[in-house]
Amino acid sequence: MLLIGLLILAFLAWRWSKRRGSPLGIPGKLLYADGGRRSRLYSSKRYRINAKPDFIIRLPSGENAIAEYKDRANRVYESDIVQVLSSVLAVREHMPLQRAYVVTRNGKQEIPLPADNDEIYRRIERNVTWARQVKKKELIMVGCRNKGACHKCSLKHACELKK
Amino acid sequence: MKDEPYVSASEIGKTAWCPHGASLLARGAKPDARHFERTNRGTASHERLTEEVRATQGRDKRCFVATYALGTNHPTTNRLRAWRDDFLLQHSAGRLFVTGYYLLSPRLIRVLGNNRRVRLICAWAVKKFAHCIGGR
Repeated sequence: MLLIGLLILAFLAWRWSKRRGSPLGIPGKLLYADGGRRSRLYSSKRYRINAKPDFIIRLPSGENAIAEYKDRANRVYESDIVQVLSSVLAVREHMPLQRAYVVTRNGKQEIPLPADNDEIYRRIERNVTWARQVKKKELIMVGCRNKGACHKCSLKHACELKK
Repeated sequence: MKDEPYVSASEIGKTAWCPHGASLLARGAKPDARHFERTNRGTASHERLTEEVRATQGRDKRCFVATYALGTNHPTTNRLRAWRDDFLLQHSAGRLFVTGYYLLSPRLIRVLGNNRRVRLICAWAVKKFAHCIGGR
């Protein structure tokens, strides 16, 4: 009887942990999840940036956290950080955000968030300028920082920096 | 900055990876097949995770009229839940509508009762509504 009772308790504990655990590794209440075309678009009028972050979660501490998921193991690149910081600027015009994470398949990295939005903008300003040039279909002759990535680039055949 | 075009966070992220590649794509360069494979794999993985996070971290299972007419896990019921979470709950007018709906719909269900014909009519109306908002 005792064994059956323990088994039932173990099963209930397992169910509880499954229910309470966060697949992202960030516990809290889900405030927003990007569900595709019909999801809300966050927009910053001040910085002219739009974003649909992957997740916004209210942490048990009461702080709001933004999370960007990358379908790869471990490594977080500068481009992930720039993307999450851009999203922060767009979302902060609508709600306070105190934390930011880049989540990979087997871990997460917290990105330090300055309280001052202008400081964040200064950090990503060069990328925002490039993105605007891209929008105007200008050709940017600056290549990938990570030269090792060029050999598996899907645009290798069209690259004009090799010429 | 007021005259500048809006750019998305993912577009900005792409320029942080390879500005040249981002500009080639915008100018119409065609990426090879591996690009689409990677994109599809990433999209599927995102969708799976989003569903898991919604299930464990706060997706509201309520959707009274659709559940009454079609059942708890019918694709249309799930579609309506997603519409509520992703669209209605993101705006104050939508949140007000959802609050009102949750006040009225349990009473409405009680009034409608367990009549099969009424249920069929409701199912038809719910499906039509879901179709109008872009669902199945």
